[in-house]
Amino acid sequence: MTSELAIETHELRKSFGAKEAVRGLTLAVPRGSICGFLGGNGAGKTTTLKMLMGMTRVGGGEGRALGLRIADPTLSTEIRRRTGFVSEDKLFPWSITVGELLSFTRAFYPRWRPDVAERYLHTFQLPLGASAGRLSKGMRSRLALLLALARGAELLLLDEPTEGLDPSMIEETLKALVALVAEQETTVFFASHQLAHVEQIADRVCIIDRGRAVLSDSLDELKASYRRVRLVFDEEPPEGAFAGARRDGRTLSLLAARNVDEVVARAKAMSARSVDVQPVTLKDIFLESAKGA
Amino acid sequence: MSAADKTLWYKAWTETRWFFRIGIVFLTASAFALYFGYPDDYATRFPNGALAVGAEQVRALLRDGHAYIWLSWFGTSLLLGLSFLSLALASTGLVRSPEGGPAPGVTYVLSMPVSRRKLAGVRVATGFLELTAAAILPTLLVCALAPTQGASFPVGEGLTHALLALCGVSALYALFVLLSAVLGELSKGVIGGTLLFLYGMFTFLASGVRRFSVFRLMTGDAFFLRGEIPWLGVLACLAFAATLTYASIRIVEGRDY
Repeated sequence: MTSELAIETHELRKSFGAKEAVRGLTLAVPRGSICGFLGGNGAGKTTTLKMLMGMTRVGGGEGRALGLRIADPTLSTEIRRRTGFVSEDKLFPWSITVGELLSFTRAFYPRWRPDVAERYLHTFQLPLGASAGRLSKGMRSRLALLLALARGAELLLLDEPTEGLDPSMIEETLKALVALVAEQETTVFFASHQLAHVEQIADRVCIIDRGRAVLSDSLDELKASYRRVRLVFDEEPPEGAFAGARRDGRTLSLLAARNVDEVVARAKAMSARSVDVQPVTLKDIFLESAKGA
Repeated sequence: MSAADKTLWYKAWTETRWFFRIGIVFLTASAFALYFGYPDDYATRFPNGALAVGAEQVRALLRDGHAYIWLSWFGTSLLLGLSFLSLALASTGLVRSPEGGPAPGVTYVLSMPVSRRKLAGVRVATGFLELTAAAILPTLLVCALAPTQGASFPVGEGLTHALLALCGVSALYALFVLLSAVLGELSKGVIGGTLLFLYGMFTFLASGVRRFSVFRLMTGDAFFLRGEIPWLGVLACLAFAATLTYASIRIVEGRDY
């Protein structure tokens, strides 16, 4: 395992009682990348993020963040010193104000960025005197993002960072993440159900299903290698002619990955009347990956 | 002390300060009440005995203000006040579990670059310091106010009693902290702690087992009646408190959040 990777896991596992939340997750996230971490509900995204942060113990396998072993409690503290985190719940611990929470947090981070804190206090319209525990969900998301961004972190682990935000704030957040990567070469690893947001800023994608990575690659590579192929035949095409194809009368539709030419050649050999090859969206790839897992 | 450590202590203080303030106000009011309601005839007080000693011994003892102050303060008010304060402070939890209380946000605290051992250790230590202040400050007030009624309770003797009470309540506090760490939820911790407290009070009051009760150590009866420091009890309480605190921190360290 090399430190060129911000995150690397090998056969990472975690069970809660009889339930296996993460079942041999292997992934690699290069430094300086923005990686979308996708998966359905209960796929193991939050558990993985918590294991990377040392909040949940590793059940098996190995994981490193910033080159440090996540299972080692001492190294885990160092990982947290260099990592910004937005949790799924976005709740704050006690009845103190936003300003007090900022002061509390900055004391732990030697690379704290007061300029970033100031900028996003203004952008996110966060009132310093408001009680952090009584903010609305959207405001809590804004505060959680500010606290993560201002840490001067090398790695950002974000769990649904845009949850509860209005469209203009979502745009600000996505811009902030891209700017941070450009300015500080920060690595961003964010779990999200908002595929459009991932598609907008991510350069890599990891799709997890039932605790296992089913796809992990650069977004451009994925989009280049996947194609939606629509085949129209004069007669009913034979059953099982194309594995995983959706049938609608004499029309077959399938997602081809890295074998588009082969699919087209086979379709022509089967006398398809028309062969239509179209680019795909991340949503197509995600749905196909989840289905095929 | 680093800025991060200072803020950690401040955080522990903000999470416990209301219970501490209520405890201090209660004990201070009790100290004043002791002298506002000062009796002309000591024998009319504690007709059924007191928490510290039985009825017969009370009648033998209550010949001066010195014994009356000991029974009223160290044998009753401070004993109960410190015990309930220890329960309240422990119920705030070491590191809150997600379902454990009105102010969640454990994941935010755990995302900080601080070990759980330190987080939990600072919290326990904060509670202990608050108990120390709650034992000593009102006791000094009791000693200072005694001459207003023509009585006397020397500061040195008062502090010795306060420290004995502190030793005893340390064991109680550690027990309640362990309950809170094991049960996770605030309500279960409070209920479990209260039940244990009542059980402890029962063993204190029941003759035969009284001498093994932590509450007896807290009253400091051996020191008051015979001038002896109950070293065995003191060491047992401190060892018990240290062991249970260590166990609580280990539980927090090993838990998934």
